[in-house]
Amino acid sequence: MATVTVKFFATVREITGTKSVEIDAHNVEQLLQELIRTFGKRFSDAVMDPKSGGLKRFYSCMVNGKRIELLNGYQTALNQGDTVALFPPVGGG
Amino acid sequence: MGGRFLRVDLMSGRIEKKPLDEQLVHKYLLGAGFLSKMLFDMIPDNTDPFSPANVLGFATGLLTGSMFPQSSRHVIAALSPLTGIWGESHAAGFWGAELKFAGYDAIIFTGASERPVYLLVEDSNVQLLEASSIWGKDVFETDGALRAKHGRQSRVLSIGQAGENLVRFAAIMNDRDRASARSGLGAVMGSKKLKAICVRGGGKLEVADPANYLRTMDELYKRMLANPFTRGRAEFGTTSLIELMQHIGRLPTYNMRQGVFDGYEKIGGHAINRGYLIKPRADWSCLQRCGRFTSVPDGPYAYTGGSPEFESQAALGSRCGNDNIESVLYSHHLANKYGMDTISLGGTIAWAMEAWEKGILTAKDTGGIDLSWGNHESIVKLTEMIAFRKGFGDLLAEGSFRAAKTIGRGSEKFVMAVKKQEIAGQEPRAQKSMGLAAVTAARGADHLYGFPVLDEVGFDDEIKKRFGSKYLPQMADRLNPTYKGIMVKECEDYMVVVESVGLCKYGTQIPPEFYYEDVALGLKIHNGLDFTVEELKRIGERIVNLNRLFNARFGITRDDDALPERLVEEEAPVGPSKGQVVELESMLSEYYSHRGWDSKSGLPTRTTLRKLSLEQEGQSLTRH
Repeated sequence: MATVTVKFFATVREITGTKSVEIDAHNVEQLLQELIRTFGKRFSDAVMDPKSGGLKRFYSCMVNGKRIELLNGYQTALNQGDTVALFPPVGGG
Repeated sequence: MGGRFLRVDLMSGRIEKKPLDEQLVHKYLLGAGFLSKMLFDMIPDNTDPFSPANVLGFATGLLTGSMFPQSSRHVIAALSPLTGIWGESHAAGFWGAELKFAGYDAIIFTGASERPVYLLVEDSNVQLLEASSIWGKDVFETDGALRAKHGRQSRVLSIGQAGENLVRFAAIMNDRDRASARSGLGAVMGSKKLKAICVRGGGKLEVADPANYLRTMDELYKRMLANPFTRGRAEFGTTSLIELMQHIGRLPTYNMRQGVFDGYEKIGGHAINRGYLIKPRADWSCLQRCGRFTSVPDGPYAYTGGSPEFESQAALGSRCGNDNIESVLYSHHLANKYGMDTISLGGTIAWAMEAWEKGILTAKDTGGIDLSWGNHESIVKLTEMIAFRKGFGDLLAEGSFRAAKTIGRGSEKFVMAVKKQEIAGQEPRAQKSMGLAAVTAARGADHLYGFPVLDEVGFDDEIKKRFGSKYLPQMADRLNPTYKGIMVKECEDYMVVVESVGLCKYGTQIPPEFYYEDVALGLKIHNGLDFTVEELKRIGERIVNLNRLFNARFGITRDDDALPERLVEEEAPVGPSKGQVVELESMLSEYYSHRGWDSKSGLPTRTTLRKLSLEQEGQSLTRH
């Protein structure tokens, strides 16, 4: 079990009401479940896709700046001190 | 409505209303494609950008003013005084749609006036009028004066003092806060003594297929509204990209020395929404609403007006090491007021700040202005001084490339530019496709010509749909250079089509909601034009190749497709992209291969030109 910092941005931060939290989790899947427990239905309704059980389309979860899709997806292991960022659909330039 | 354009000779004052050449539309569409062809034919070799021989074109897209989502765009083009090559810039707002309603698709200006003038377009009444009373006024004053005179519903496009003073990165502004900022086209307008174009149109919206029009447009609207991006765009615009870019290590900081900035939260979307946001703003037919109005209520940086978007926040904030958000908002406001490109403005000041840090520039050079990183008072002061070419501002008004040439003493290596134009807000070591796109873009360093954002936060499904699953996962990985050549090539082809039909990149590229088939549907329903997806792709490719031929006439070859040494040789020092460099040569070779360009010269081969029916235009290659 690793203690990681989870940072929230844009509309996700409006739901959590906080910039960041510390969470203990083995991997990203477990971390998301912990976030749902912490922030409740409003969080899961906004962020999670009930059909796939994963994040909604275009929501982005990054571990130390790397998208989990390019790591090991929801099974990406977390290490002590990692930073996880959770973004709603956002991008461009 | 439409089907014709205005040709205005500023030397003689002659105004002609000319029909659009249908064959030209079939080969190049309108907007960027139309101007690419017109100006390729009209601008002579060896033209000085500030001479009367330069041609300044304004064009709407085929769908501008329609009900297609985000169809507000117009395009401006000329030989750029900043780069000396193809100059092109685009903006949203309402001016383009108004020009359509007045009955014109485009305006081409030739020559130069001896005295300040502005063009009034009121349906069939088109006149060049005396502008001495507004010459010297800023953009907001000019907008107010012309709308007071010609009606509050008129739409005004103008330059501010920066354009009049030939600042090489002067913008052309419309609807007060919308900027055609890049390429320094405001200075071309200033050199022609053309202050403004005031437009009022009373024409009807005519559509090709009225029976299916509303149903089809309604379906497109619903798709756009249902897209997961749309809600967040309205709430944060592009301002929260600061936070995203920080987390992927792509936030240009300290003159692109690194891609992360300790003060990012202070200049990001949350900071603006919390303290300064009035409300989002939408342009013609826009559902994304990424524009905003903001206000700093009091203090030295007080203003009320248009808000910066990500590029301005990054350029005037992190790039200059500045975490004072009110100064970022205010210097952006001044840039709009005087009409300047914030990207080149911030990029040039950041160059000076690094030269100051290294002791190359001193108080003797700057007239006593302290250029320490993050000195927000100096940033604001220089914004004014550049617009009016006062003191040290006169040197910076030339842009970082020319300023470094003048100063010398090793300052050249701190110029973060491609083809003399400052690189936009993408630290390319953190997103390799953006590094490639910056060097292949026709107007010099530019993120929008290709706008290859499909690898930014991962659009794996869209990559699969547009390219095929064999390109995954490499193409979706922003740090992996593999397949970025074909990605940038295809994105460029599509983006120039988008700029030729008058749509926004938000909705066509990010989010990637609408693609060629939707554009083809819009052209059929609105314009009665039948294009297949393959034909549109071919047109996009043709426009990109014609832009390259234009640049070849002004001396561009593969040698010019280069990034600053820092970005290809120095590893990113900190952040999520630590250790990365841009593998430019391999990506560039792949790009040329897909383009059908010669790998040594970087220019289109005869076979490519034949395939694109550009043999005649390609004859220019033999002259150079």
